[in-house]
Amino acid sequence: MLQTFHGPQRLLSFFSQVKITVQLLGQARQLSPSDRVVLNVEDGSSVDEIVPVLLDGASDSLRMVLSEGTEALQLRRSVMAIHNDQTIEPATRDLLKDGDALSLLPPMSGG
Amino acid sequence: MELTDRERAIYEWQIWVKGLGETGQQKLKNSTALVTRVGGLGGPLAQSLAAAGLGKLILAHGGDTKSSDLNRQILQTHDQLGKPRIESCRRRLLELNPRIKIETCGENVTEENVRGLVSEADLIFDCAPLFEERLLLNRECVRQQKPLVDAAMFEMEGQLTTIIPGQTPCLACLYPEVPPGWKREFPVIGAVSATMANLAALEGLKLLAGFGELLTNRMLIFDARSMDFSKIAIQRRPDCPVCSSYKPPAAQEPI
Ligand SMILES: [Zn+2]
Repeated sequence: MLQTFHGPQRLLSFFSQVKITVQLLGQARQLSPSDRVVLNVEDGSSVDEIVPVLLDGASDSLRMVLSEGTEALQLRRSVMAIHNDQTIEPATRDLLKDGDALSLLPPMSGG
Repeated sequence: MELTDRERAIYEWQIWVKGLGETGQQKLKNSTALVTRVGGLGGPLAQSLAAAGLGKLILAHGGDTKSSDLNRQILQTHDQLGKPRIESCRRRLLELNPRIKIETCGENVTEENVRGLVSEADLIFDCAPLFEERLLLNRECVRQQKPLVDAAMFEMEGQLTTIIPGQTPCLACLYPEVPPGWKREFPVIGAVSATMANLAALEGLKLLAGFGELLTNRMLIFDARSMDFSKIAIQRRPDCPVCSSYKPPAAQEPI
């Protein structure tokens, strides 16, 4: 049941989209035309749910670095998702708020 | 072993460092570190450890020097092209500091040699480009409960963390799989790998001499394009194939 004291704005936000800035690091940065991508995603989206939006139209090499899965793309488990200076679980919803930044850090190595 | 007067004179400027002092310097003298792959990362790292008077360095590095090593593998020289890299590593480090002991292994870390290499060291530095090698070294460090400083770089970026088995995430917590399509060769400027190498050397010196705050449960991320340094919190993976079953000694059942 909808409760009126939330006000009309709160009700609207249930179905609204939010802006998330994705900063690509390491190998993903090198493979992408831009380091930073602003995406409109559904409010409450997890990182795994943002990945298909991010990779829509992306090159195969960028897809291989950032994602796994064939039916539904999700974040590759060796890629770190960083939000507010901590790594976050890619499957967890409701962590990212409107205007937030998310960094994706693929593995790097010595040599 | 006590410091000699000659050593006190050589290391004077760092003995003045608050927290290091003569006690810390003596700890460094009595320590052994393993550096696996002594290339763009391991080379400048071993150089800083040698200059700082670390008692013994064990170096594992296979292959012969190639032209494409020379932009970053600063222990290699042009007259060394086509000859074993490890020879040049030993020679150059002993030129820098003839007072330290250097033990060399002319191959990279393998299933066969990893146990022996890790067992001889107090601290391990992972400087290898291949994930198979890094994860193997990590597994052995967790098994033998040895601290591991892990540094890496790509292009104009670098990262660093200190792994204390049982207390911090291990490398397999961060990378549960070998990333598909990862290549041994990747873009990097030597000054970037040397920066990460020296940050890793500082972690090692602090850990061995017992001062300062370590990069445990955190990862330092460096972006040379913008000169940004940031630190992020990292977590252990509850289902980590390597360290999730590890219990710290206090929690183990008596045999
Ligand atoms: Zn682990």
